[in-house]
Amino acid sequence: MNSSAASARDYPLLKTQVQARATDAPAPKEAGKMGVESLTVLYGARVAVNAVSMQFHSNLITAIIGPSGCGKSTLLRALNRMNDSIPGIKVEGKVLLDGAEVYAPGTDVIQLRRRVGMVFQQPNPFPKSIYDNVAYGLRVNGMAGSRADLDSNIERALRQAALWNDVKDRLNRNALQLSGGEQQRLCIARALAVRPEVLLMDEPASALDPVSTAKIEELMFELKKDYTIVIVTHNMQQAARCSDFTAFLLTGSLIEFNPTASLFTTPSDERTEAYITGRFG
Amino acid sequence: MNRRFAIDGVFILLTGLAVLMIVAMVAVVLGNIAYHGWERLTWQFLTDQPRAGMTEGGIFPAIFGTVLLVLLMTLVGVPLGVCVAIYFSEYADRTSRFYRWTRQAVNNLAGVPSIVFGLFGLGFFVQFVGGAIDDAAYAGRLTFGQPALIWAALTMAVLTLPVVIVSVEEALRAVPQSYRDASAALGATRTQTIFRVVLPNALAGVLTGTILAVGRGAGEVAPILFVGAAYFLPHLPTHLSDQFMHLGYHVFVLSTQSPDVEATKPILYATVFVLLGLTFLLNLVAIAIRTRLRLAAAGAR
Repeated sequence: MNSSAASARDYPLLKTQVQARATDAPAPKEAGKMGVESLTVLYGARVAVNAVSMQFHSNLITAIIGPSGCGKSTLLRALNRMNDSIPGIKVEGKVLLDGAEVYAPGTDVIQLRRRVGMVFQQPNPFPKSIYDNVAYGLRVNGMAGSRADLDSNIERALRQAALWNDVKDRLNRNALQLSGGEQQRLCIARALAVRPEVLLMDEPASALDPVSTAKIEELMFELKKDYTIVIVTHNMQQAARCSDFTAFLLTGSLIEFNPTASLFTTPSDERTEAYITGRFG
Repeated sequence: MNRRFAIDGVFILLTGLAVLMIVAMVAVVLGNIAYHGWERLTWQFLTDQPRAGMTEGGIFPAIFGTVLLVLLMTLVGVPLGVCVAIYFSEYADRTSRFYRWTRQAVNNLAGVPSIVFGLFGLGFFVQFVGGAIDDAAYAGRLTFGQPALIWAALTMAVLTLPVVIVSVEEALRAVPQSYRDASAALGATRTQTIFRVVLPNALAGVLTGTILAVGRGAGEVAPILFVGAAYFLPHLPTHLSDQFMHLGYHVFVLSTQSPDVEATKPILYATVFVLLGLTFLLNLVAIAIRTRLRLAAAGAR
């Protein structure tokens, strides 16, 4: 309760949104757009994610919180198999996208990553023009089409990321000239350009100033109308402000997974309560 | 206390003197060559061929041969080195035995004396590969089975390979992992990521590797002694199986094989001057390109 109240003070715009949510949420156990079942991820002998089961619903934002090293990023990166290239990693259990096993042999990882987009902690635009950054995913996936198609897709993605009006006159400028917040929105536009169904965000605002953070959060609220969004954050206020569901992870285990309002106001586990009231982490 | 100060002072003096000595040596070498070589360095010297038992004329065939050798060597060695560097940096599992063995092989290659490369080139390229080509395509008529430009270029490419590999690999590793992650997360294959993101951002390093290889290739003489460099040729090489003249080898020839030492001396000085100048020039051009690329990258940031 404290954290949502504090956030409503800081961001009056979001106040109504926070209150509007909570009610229309489905039950957490219902099968979602994406889900994990008894997911365990091991780095060699070290267990990073321990038998986690949870569902991610479309048109909702699911936040994963927990102290550093609790496995929340590993869990997120297991969803689009970004961990695959790490030597010695082992994934057990299931990751499901529309009911299909993501780790099944013969899965097209390239296609999976097109459908499940990702935004990283540090804004990481390529040192190319703004236009080429957004065009990148379309080009590598053979979705570029004619120049007119490409132009309109890039405009659509930049509009969705609320960046079009800021950059439409300088699409050929190098993306690294943008501010940090603009760079992160460009990365979101870049991810949206290939029309993903799920958007994974790995602490997307932790490297940004408060104003840019607020913009990203408002953007997420817009985007959830069309996408399934999963966000990892160690900023509890952010989770309270933006998400519909929140999962609390501790040393790789899922401690609590509930509608955000209830997790932050009436946590069912004392460890969750200890964490959200700042007694550890 | 005084004693300690004294030791301190003496040691500073010693290290300073060592530095001065190096500077002086470079100055003497360069100054001496520039001083003696300058007077003979004319347009005619650069464009004429050696005459009268190398006591007159110019060194154009040697310049031509050196440039041709370096170009061919680069054409073969740099793409090969880039491929190896890409494998090491992007594909190889760094914990695997294969990786450790191949990595060690590259390190060992860098430590092989250059004369051994020459013998390797003679045995492998000239006799084995060249001989096989002659048997297969020229009905045993001696064409490629003898010292030739192509074998010298290949030998030099192998010699400079470790230099290219190490510097390109360094450049590839300097490309932030976040670029690779971003590319992979957008559905790019590893190969697409390498060609569209990693290599373009490592271009400065690829050029550095090329610079170092060219600098080394232009100056090395030992490896090409048996595999293609000629003492004297009346014609410029026109075919890959032709022999060629080389500036470094020409310096050796002028300084040991001349019938008239006094007449050859000015030519020798001027030839060394040209060899140094050519190496410096090649480096300078490449460094200029690299600096421009770096500035462009920095300007974007």
